[in-house]
Amino acid sequence: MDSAIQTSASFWVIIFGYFAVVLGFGSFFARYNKTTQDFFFSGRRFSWWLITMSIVATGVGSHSFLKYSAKAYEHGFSSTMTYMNDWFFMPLFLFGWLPIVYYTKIRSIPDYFERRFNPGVRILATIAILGYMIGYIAIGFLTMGKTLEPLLGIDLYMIIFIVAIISGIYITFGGQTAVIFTDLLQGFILIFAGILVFILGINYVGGFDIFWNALSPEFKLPLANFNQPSNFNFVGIFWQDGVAGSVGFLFMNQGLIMRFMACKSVHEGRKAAAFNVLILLPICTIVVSNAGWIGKAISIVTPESWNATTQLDHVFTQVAYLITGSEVLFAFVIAAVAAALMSTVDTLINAVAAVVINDIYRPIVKDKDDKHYLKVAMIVSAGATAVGALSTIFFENFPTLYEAHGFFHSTMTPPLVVAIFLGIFWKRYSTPAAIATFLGGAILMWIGNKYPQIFISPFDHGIEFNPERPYTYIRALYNTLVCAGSGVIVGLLTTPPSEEKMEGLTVWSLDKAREFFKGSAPNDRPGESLLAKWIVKDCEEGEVRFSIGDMETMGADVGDLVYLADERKWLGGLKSVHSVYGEPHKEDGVVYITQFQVESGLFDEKRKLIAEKEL
Amino acid sequence: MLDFSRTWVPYIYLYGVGGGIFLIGMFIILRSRSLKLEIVRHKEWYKILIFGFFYYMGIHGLFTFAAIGEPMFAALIGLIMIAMTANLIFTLFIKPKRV
Repeated sequence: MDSAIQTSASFWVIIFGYFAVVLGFGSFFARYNKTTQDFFFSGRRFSWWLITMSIVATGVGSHSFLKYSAKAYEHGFSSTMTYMNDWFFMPLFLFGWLPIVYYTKIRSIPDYFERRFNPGVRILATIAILGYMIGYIAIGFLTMGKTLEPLLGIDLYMIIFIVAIISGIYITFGGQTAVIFTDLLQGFILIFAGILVFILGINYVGGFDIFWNALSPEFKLPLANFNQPSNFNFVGIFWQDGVAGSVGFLFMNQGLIMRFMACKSVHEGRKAAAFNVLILLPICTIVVSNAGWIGKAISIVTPESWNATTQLDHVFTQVAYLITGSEVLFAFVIAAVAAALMSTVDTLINAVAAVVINDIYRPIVKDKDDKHYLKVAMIVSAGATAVGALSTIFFENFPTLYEAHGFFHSTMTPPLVVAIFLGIFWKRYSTPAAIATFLGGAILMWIGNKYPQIFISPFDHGIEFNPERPYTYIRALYNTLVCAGSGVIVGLLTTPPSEEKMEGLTVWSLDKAREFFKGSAPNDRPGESLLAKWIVKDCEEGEVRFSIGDMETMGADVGDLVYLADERKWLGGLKSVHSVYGEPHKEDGVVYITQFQVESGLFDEKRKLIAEKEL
Repeated sequence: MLDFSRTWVPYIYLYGVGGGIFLIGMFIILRSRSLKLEIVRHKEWYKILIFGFFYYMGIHGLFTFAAIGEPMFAALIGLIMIAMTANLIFTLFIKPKRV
């Protein structure tokens, strides 16, 4: 297997054809990018279902297919652990971090740090978050290289180079709207492809009963052995992935945060997140792992058809090749994995550009027009792609992608995760405490890394010390504790920040954040959405006007925020605008809007608008 | 035969420590009044959050019983999960129309 799999020209025609369709789909929607706000946040207009599907494609990155298939083949159903432990942090995410980022209109996570602390902490956060995202991009490229390596039989870095160029071109010109719509398409496709592999695989081994009975009870347990082996154990993975990874992904993944900020409201963002974790993640865990289970079953039921020398990171490709039975299907499955790579990487490249423009470039080069920043954002996107591709060197030496990713999460996420957490939930958390979290935490993490047997072993839960890769996963617990400890001690010893400085920036003052978002006191009076015909009339700038009766139906007052969208719900908010209620008129069922709003919302003359009060 | 430490200790740790994190989270959002139970929509979210915790407990419990060859217990958990899900859907969708 690890020599190149034989493929014909039609295989590559399908692969490149698939890419062309996906890129064309994204480029079509890229025309909606008119400003940097659109390029990064898509104008905060989309429905939950569109965002949740695009989150799938981002979360279920290409690394997922390869790394979980590898661990699924080795350790069984416990490969699902990492997708099935995200709910513990949902209360804090849905009613803490999500409304804060949405209502405070932060442009990036470092932006939050400046508002909550000071510009110095913003710089520390910027460095940490760029390191995290570039590392993530690198793992994405490395995965793609490993996916195609057995097919092409050419040098890994040559493959990475080619993939990086394709990704870079796409994201550089597409922006966030293109990313969201491409991911929507790819989200559906990769779920379909993963389920297809499962069905074909079950069929290949002779049916579900044969598959189930071939696997040992231990293989079928959903959670791994508590503390062994050192390269895959429950407790280490719980702290590395369930805590550091989950929080890292939900709270500090700029790409994901930008998705939620593209939702039309906080409520829609909550729906997207909850649906994703409750429904899609359990499906996705089967999608990304099943090739490993199928591979194990094949190796037991029909050992003659299984190449026992298959590298773990090549299990997915090997299984897909065996079970599809046709080159067309095989090409489709590989294209879906490639699509997953694009989804993960393009989101992160776009996020890197957002951080660089908003946190580094804009504060230095002020007062330029938006076109200038948009142009620089495109150049940064191309640069981030190149740096990400070069950074793959750091992860190439790990035995599997799973371990590379695990080590990366354990090391990179704790300082930011702790700083975000304490910043949101602890009012005493001051600027010196945040600096201590980053700097003190980094020093203690370095010491722990240097002397793991002294510093990390007290937290090892009985995990065996592996001198080659000491405490790959459980180091996340040590790293989190030292970062938290540094912050808490300094927080307790220094003067707490004033309440005014923190208004709207912690979970304790969310009403203030809502007020800040609206510009006046929120109106929570219950109301209903309604359908209205639109007419272009002169209104005050940024306002729309409804009848008195319609405003009563919506529970709205003059000055409240309103969301108007094309009546076709399947558009998911693509044609929509946010506005403010102006003085009412007397025509029920009609909304007066300006020509500018018609153009911004891309409204169709023949279509009514759905209107709903926001705040 | 798999012993208790192999089958259930990770489960207990996951929902013990994870449950602690979840409870602290619920406490903070209620105490800070980020989640306001008097708002109908928030009350729905409160139910969804609790449902989600037991939903995942159920999935892991179901698969553990299925793996160790206890289909009756697995089926029982499956039925409880179906009932919980039906109850949630009923609560969320059989309701007066509002924003």
